Formats: sequence, C-alpha cells, structure tokens
Amino acid sequence: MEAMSPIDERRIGWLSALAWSPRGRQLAVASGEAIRIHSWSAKDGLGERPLRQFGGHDAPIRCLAFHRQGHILASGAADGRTFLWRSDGSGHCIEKRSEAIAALCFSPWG
Amino acid sequence: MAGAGGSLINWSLQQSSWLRQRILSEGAEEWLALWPQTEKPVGVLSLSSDGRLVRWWHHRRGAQWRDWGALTGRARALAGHEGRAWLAIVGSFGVQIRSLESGAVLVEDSPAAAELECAAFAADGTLHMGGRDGSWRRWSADRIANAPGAPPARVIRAHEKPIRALAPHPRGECVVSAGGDHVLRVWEG
Repeated sequence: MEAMSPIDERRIGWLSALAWSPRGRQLAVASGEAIRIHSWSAKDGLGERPLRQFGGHDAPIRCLAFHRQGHILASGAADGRTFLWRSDGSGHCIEKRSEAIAALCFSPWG
Repeated sequence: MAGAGGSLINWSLQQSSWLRQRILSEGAEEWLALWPQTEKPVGVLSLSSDGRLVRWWHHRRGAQWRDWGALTGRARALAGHEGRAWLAIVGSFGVQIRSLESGAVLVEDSPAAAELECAAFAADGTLHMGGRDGSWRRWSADRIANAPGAPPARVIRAHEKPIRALAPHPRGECVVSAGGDHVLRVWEG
C-alpha cells in the first residue's frame, strides 16, 4: 500500500456524506446532524472556515445531493426527514417518514 | 428521489414547491444506494438493503423494468459513469464493473484484504473506491477498459478507519475522502 500526503486535512467529527456542487466551487460535508459548506478553488483549496454551517435534522445525516443547477442541496437522515436547502442556508423539511432516508438523487429534470 | 424503508419516492419541483408524485415500491427493504441515469433510458438504479439486488426503475412510469440478478456477495455502494456506460458495484466481494447497457460484467476484482465501502467515478472515468481498512483504490479508465499499457491499480493508505465517502472534484482538481477517523482529507486529483 502506498503512502501519500494529502494536500489538506481537517478534523471535523463524525462524517457520513460528501457532495460537490456541479461546478466544483463548493463542497458540502455532512457531519453528524449538521451540514458544512466549504468553498473550493484550485489555488486556495478549501477555505479556512466553512462558508456556512446549518442543520435541522434530529439524527445523523446519511446522504446529500446537489441539484444539477447547484441552487438546491438535499439531505436525508436517520430521523426519516428529507430537507431541501437553498444557497443562503435556509431550508425546509419536505418529508418525514418513519424509516431512515438512505439515499437521494436528483433526476435530470430536478 | 429518496429511498427509505423500501419506498422509492419521486418528487417533482414545480413552481418552487415540491410535490410527491408517487411511491414506486413498498416493502421491507431499505435502499442503500441510488444512482440516476440521465440519458436514454432515463431511470434510477437502486441497491437493496441486503446488498444483493440491483434494479432499474423507469423514471416516468415508476415501474421496475430491469433486474440484473442476484450478486454473489453483499454490495455496499453503486457508482455510475454515463459517458462510458459503466456501473461499479462494490462490497464484500470486491468490485464489479458492469455495462450500463447490457448489465454484463466487464471487469471484476476481489482485493484479498479489503472489503469496499464506497465508490465514485471521476469525470475522466477513474474509479475511486474506499475500503473498510481505510485504503483508497484508484483504477484509471484505461485499466477498466483493459487498454494495453494501462497503469496498475493504486492502493493508498488514506485513513486509519473505514472510508465513509469519496468525492472526486467534478473537474478533476482533487479528490476528497471522509474517514471514520473523523478526518476530511483532500488529495491531488
């Protein structure tokens, strides 16, 4: 097994899901019940601090997906709730189910 | 679309409001992974909770229209590459790469030491796979295509605990890994 050094690393906490925005300018990171949005550029890497951090789930997030246009992020969690988040960090729960949300994806029509 | 307890739920965004259209399937299963196929045929692939069934669902009709048969081991994740029409399935058996068009197995490998936990294709067709032992495996597109002179697979010690997620940058600028050691790492793409 090879050894290789990362170009950046952050100790964040319990991690479960990652999602890049469609153009790769933002990285969404699910950590426990919260979502962190980091900026990214090839020159500067991940920003020093997350651009935004928000949450609304009552249990660990299990999946994230960006809309193809990048203006909406969806999250699903073990509490059975699915949230939609807008780029300003505002979000609302669109569904509450008794089972965990295990996977999410957007169709080409959104 | 969201998977929960066997339900495959289809939502539609219309006039800034989300409407549930239909529940595609109800049962005792939990979907472990979904992957959207956006070119024709448009649909979604799902992986059942026992990790042994990969199914195609028709997007508009909401009906299952293909089943690729039972897998030989427990799968953990799916990853697709539309341009190359590849679907990677990883799990306790290692990795299988199938044709999205026919379902035929194109390449398979069973790493002796590592059970695979997650997978993602980069835009250039490189397949990234994360192991329960913290290893990160990279297969170039040429290697998957069995091109002569293709570089060997690379296996990198990335984390001290299982890799939970891998995310190649959409333009190939880096690869991000999330480990069970609570560390997020950024690697050269």
